[in-house]
Amino acid sequence: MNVLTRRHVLGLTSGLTLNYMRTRRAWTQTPSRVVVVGGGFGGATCAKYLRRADPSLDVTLVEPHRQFVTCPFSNAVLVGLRDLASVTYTYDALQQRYGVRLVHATATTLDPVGRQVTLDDGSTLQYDRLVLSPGVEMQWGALEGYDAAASERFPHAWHAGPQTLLLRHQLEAMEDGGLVVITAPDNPYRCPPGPYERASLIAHYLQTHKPRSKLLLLDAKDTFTKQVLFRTAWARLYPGVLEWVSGSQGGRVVRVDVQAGTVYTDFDEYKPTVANIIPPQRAAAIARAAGLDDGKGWCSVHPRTFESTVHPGVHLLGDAIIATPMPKSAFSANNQAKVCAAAIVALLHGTAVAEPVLMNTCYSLVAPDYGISIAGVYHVAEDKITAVAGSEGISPVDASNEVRHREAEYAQSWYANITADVFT
Amino acid sequence: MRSLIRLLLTVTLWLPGTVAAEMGSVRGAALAHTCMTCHGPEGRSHGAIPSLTTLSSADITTALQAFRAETRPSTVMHRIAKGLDDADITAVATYFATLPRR
Repeated sequence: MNVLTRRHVLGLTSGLTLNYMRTRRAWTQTPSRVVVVGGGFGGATCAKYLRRADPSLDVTLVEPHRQFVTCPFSNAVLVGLRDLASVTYTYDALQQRYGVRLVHATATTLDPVGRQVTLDDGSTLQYDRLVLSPGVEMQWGALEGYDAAASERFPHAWHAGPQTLLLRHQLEAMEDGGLVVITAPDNPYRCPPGPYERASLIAHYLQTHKPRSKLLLLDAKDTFTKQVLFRTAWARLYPGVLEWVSGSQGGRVVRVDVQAGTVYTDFDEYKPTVANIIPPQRAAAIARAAGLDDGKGWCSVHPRTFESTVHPGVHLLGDAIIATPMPKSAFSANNQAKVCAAAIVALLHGTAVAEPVLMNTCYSLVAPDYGISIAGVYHVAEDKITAVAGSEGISPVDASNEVRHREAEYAQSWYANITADVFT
Repeated sequence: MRSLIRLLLTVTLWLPGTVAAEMGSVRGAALAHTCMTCHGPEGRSHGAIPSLTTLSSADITTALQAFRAETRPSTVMHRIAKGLDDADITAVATYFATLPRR
């Protein structure tokens, strides 16, 4: 009873809705506590679907920011097709409609045995189940010369928000005839088609507004997702504007010098007018706490529950995990979150965990009216995710203009719908 | 006695069907929650992707079977539908029919 009283006080001070309070009062037993860390596509979805599935759960979402800026469609913001407000969401619905308690802080340490997380304000949260969906962090220094300070000169724009606007302003300020360099890292990293969609939309911007300019995409890799679709489209839409240099042809960037404004590959050096460095990444710090990543930088999970293979009671989602063949996409994170939420409810109630439904669909815009997609449906066998035969694949290479146009419309519609699924 | 036998018969015949329906609805909800990522919350879509709440259970079943067989044109649904078996198609079509119409 003490615990219940204390929670009521906590609830009042954090301004929870009356509805939530009533739900809470109706229970005489101590409700199970689920703490979710990270308010992106994985964490926000998981918090909502936990409360939808079981309104008796005490669900706390730990997220330092008061608003969420999505990486999907931030490439459209970069080139002026959208503004930042149109890709920015609040947690109001999660709190008011679904009774999720929001704590604006950063989770810093984890005690998987005592089942408690510590926040950067010194407070602690006890949990029965913990969900970590903190996304990625840039691996500063993994590329020589590229750290947080350097990203103020050569933005990565791989976390949407101020970095997106910085790169946009640099593109807008560039005079016609300039050179834009984008560097793409080795796998794995957040959003595999992201660098190629970005290169496409920037090429479109240059062609439209600064036609004497050029874009060089320096890649650490020789192959990438939807490659045949991107390259076919580039040859048709952006000849002489966009050039892709593969890793084996000298595309691998080995050093940057922001003071001199230089980007170095093994054999060449470039002096771009605008440089967008997408550096190597790893799971954000809290997902690597307490050895969750096994020292590898990314976390592994049991895919029926998304519970850590290292610590029981800790679930991991989204870009921080390796869930191959599911890519690090917003769709995957949202989908994994729903599977995880259902599994947690089953585990807390002592009922059977259902067979997971795992899917992904990723749209990319090659031009504002030219869309392409990759999709897959997956099943779990022997604790491993595998694609269902025939379900995994990309848009047809020989599709008509009408199909490309329709996929661009579907990309916009997908974005409206997934963000509504998470934030309303 | 006769009524007791009737009762027992009813219960034994009815139970497995209920369990199957219950399992089907859990599967249907899990599938439908995934559909909603593209087709919108509760199947009500914003924009060009079709809403699912205007369709009957039979419409959804027919469409998914045709996508899977590639007898109906699509962009992405040919691929997605190949990941669904007949029981999945029935479960998800039945689930969407329980949601409010629009």
